Amino acid sequence: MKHYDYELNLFIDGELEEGNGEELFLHLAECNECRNTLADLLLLKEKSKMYCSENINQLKQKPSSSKSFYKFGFYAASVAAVFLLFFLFSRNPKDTFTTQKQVRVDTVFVQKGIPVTQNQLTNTNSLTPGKKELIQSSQQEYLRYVMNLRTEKFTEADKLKFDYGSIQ
Amino acid sequence: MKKIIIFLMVLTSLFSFAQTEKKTKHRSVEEVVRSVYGKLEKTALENNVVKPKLSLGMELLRTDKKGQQIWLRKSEYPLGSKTTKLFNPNNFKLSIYEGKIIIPLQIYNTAKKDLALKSKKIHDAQITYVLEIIPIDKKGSTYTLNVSIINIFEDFSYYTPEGKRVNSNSSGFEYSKKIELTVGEKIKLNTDDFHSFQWYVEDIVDGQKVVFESNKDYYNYFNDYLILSLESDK
Repeated sequence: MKHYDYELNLFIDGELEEGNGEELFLHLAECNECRNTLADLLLLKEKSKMYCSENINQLKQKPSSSKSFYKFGFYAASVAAVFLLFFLFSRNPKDTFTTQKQVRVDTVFVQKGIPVTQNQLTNTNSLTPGKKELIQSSQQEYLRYVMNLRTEKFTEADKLKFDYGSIQ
Repeated sequence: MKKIIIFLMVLTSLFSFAQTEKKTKHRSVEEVVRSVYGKLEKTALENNVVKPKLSLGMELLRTDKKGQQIWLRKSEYPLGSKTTKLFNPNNFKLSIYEGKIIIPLQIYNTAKKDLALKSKKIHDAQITYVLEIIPIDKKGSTYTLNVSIINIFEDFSYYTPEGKRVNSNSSGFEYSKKIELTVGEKIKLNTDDFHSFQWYVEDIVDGQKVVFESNKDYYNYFNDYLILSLESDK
């Protein structure tokens, strides 16, 4: 028996010519296999419709939300960059050594095991009162500690008797 | 420039030391170096102190005359071993630790502060503290250290003890002393005596000759403390 797979596909897609429809339905009335094929094709078509509609919705929604997200990120980054540049250029850099118009700010040396505040000489004018007080109290504490250390005094007797001053 | 000055100063000290020993004029530099460090090496060997691995720290604390901290400087930690062309550590069985702190010259005399800020010579002037530490004995965790402090003044002229002015682009002095230090201990080295070295810096500021002097413009305003710490010997 001849099966009508090709005509069934045309029928599903709405492309079957009118004259061929009668023959196809007569065959379907007799052929169980072709009826099953038609049922599968119809189900497949329905599923593909649903799939497409779902994906179209997603495609319609995703790009728009993504675009706005990236747009927002771009604008936020631009604003942040402008603020950063303004902040950097508006600040007066602190040099290590004195120039004629600037106040001397000493270099920071950090030693292992010593709290940071003890390692730095800070330009206290630029500090908040709280931080200034914290650093000053820390300095005072360290100063007291140092003053209580055992002292070895270097005296004239320890001076080596030669004259470095003669070096030119 | 600084390295050359230090090198020259060490050379000068070594040769001067050799002269005081009344040795012949034809000794080589190596011989002179050995004559200086050889004695310390001999002592260290007798005391069985051969190249200990000490972690030493060096700080320079400056306070005003009221005892308030002006600033605190720290050298690189731990102090490194001395290695120069003159002193090759491979030729010796002792360790020489060397620390250095360089400070710019700051004029504290308020009457001359503004002039000092305009003076290029003051801006360029530097004072270097070099600390040379040689462990020569050990009892338990207490080490006897031969501590030398070399103070170098770059771009300074100076006064001789007789008060004569000498134009120079570098000057300085050295103190040396044996000090006991226990592991974990910190001591301060009082350097008040260093203020006996009188210097001056002469410059033209705003078309006028200005002289900055050690006592009037500098020493009278602060005390310096060199702080030496022995953190570990392992």
